[in-house]
Amino acid sequence: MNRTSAIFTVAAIACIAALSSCASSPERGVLSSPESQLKLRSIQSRAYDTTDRQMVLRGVVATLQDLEFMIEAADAALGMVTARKLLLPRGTPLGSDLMLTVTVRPRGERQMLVRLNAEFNRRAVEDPEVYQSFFLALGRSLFMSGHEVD
Amino acid sequence: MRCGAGACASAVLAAAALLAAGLPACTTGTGKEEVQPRPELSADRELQTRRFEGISEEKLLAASVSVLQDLGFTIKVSNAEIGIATGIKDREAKAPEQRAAVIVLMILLTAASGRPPPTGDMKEEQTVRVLVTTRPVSGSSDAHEVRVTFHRFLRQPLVVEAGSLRDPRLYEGFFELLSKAIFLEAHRL
Repeated sequence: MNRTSAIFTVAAIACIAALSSCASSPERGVLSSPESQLKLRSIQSRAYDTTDRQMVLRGVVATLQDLEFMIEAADAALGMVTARKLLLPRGTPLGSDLMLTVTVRPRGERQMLVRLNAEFNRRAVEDPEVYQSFFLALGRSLFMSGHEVD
Repeated sequence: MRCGAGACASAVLAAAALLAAGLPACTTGTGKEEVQPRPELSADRELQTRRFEGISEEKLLAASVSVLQDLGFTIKVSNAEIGIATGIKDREAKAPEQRAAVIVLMILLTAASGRPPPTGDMKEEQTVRVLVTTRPVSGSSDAHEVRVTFHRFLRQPLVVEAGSLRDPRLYEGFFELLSKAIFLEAHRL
């Protein structure tokens, strides 16, 4: 094997190793137990002390615009907004694609429940920090803090 | 195995394309950086927002949509109840420095393969998305704010880039057109 073919062999192995390290098992992303589903739902939700659903929805939209998302779908009657942020910095092939779905619905007679689902590079986000950061920004927009819910 | 200059270049380009296509799907991270506001948020918001008085929110949103139509955007989402409209526009990118890069790439590919690449591979395209939101100004009965944000996804042979557009001239130009549209609407010209 001469020098050129050796270089190509090493490059091919490196490519295969790099790509195969990204592969995930088919089971990944399927929550293992109802307890973990409940925990995730709790992380994804906040209750706000208001009955004004439209005001909360407008706050959600303002927050998404602050965070440089583009709105992909919105339905005020259903209280739902879907937004996307695609970032590909110049000079690098590594990008990020964050999709958010936010719903706003009444919770009891005095609160609005906001639930956020996030997907990063086509994988469901289970990192609590992502949800905490969003709700922190939403709280600033609404001038009120959300309550954690069970 | 011997490798000619052309074959080597082709193999290297193929490997680079494979990595570029495959790696974004396996980037680490959970997106927490993407939900952090920029430190320049206040300045951005100021640039992206204008206040208009003596016009209803619905008319203000309609005037904004009219400006987007004038600029060649296709409206994708609109909801007057919460004051939003989004538009999208696909266009060929025409930046001169990018054209030079494309020419260099075409020369390299031609040298590598011995024949010119299909012109379809050399397309320079960009997708611009715009989000317009309106809202009442608190404490005022007939004042409303409009906020506009632009994003671009540039797709070229050597450059793929996506993110917010921050050139102040873009925002000033939009609001200038919006002011004219509102004036014309008010005076029915």
